[in-house]
Amino acid sequence: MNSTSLGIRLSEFTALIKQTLDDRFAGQTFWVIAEISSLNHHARSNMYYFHLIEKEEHSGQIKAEISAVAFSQLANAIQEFEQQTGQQFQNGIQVLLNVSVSYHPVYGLKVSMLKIDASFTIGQLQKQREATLAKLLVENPDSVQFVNGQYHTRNQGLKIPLVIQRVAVISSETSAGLQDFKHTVEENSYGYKISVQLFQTAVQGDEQGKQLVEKLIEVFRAPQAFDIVVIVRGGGAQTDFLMFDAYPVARAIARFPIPVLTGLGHLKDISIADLMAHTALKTPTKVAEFIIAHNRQFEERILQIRQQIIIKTQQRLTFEKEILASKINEIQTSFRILLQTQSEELQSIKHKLLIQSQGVLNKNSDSLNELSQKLSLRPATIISNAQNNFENKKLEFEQIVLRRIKNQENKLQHFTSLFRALSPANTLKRGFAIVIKDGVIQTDARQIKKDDSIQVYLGESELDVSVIKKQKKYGKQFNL
Amino acid sequence: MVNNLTYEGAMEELKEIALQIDNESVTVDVLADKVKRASELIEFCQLKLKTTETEINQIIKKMDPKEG
Repeated sequence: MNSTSLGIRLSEFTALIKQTLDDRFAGQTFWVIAEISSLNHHARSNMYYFHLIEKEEHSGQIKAEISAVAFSQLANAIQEFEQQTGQQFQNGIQVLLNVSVSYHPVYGLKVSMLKIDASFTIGQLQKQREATLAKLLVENPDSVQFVNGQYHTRNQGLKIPLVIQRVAVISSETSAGLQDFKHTVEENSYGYKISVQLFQTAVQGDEQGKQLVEKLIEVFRAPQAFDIVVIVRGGGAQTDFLMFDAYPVARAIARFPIPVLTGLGHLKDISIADLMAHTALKTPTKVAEFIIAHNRQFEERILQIRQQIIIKTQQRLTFEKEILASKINEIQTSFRILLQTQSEELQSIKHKLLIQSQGVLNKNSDSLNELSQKLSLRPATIISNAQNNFENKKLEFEQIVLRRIKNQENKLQHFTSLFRALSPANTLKRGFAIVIKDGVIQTDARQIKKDDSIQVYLGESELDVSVIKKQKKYGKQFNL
Repeated sequence: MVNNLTYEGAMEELKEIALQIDNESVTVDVLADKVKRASELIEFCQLKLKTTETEINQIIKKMDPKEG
């Protein structure tokens, strides 16, 4: 095809472009502000292929885009950039690059990266951070506050349980940091058993931390309860740091109802996730050590209480023993005193009793003596009295007897004289006769009948008489 | 007795016992019981610290015949 009248060859055309561009851009460099996108690293050639883009501030629509390349001699510069910014050279970051324009007939228009300005990205990141932090404060006043130069979040207000034994870990499984964490936790020298459940995230491509937030939700919804959530960053080149400054992640951590511990292995600044988390530690290993130390603290505390209880109990027992001993002593002493007092009292009572009884005895003995004296005297008196009495009675009696005798004598005298006067002899002398019938003196004539033989004593003579006649005779010649 | 016991619960009880013993607000008669209880709690906590939850549950099952 050689249709010069119709047009020019493409090669001529591209050569023209190249010429034009060279005329305009050759030997010139430009500082360009852009965002990196579609980054591709050719490991073998150690070259970076990427796009520089510019987005609409509000809509996020791309309004400019150009291909870029960083040749292998820039690898060192990129590494340096990463060290200074603490940020990987990756998609989504804002950079200030010094570029030159080059045109190649086959590969087209490209800018070649010559230099990269770390301080610009640092500033950009800082601005972004500040914007994110401001947004957190404005949109979550109940869970994020800024007081006295420090951020306070709801998560920080949570209390870590006394012992941490159920841990949810959010990390990528391939992360070296996760292995460090698990190893330190599982091989702890105190033998504490801690169960670690992994909630795995993707290695890359989660700049806004969407997956991380999803994992947090998964932890929250898990059927088993967790004492803490640990977020560790893998470490190594493949990991992502941007997500830990992302708003959704920071917000989720700030509001999360279980204490969140971070071990992100920072290169430079502390991340927003760290600021929002309950406890931020430098590395995954440090988080593991924190957990072990936390549990150790609990154990030490209970051992300390045990020690305290032992000491106090011993003190108390010693004290009580002393009190007991002193009480026993007291009791013994007071017993001794009591015993002594009682014994003395007893002695004195005994003494008194002895004296009193002796007194009583003496008194009794005296009265006994008296009595015995009395008694010994009395019979003699009685006897003598009786004797006297007896004598008197005897005398009296004698006199009575004598008088009676005299009396009787007198009576006898009288009767003697009477009897003398009345004696049959005298009577007979005085003219009286005694009539006897059948040997019996008759005083009545009724027994004597006519013709009876009777004896009649007259004077000195006895007359045998026969009754001739019997007649009644009434006269008073014998009436004296 | 130790079933459902949390570290927090154990710690509270231990502190309370320590305080009571410290205050001498317990009689010597009760002292032995308190010390025994404290020792049980400490033993339980130490056991729990060094045992997985599954193992703990098995131990509790063995300790409490009602659970078996």
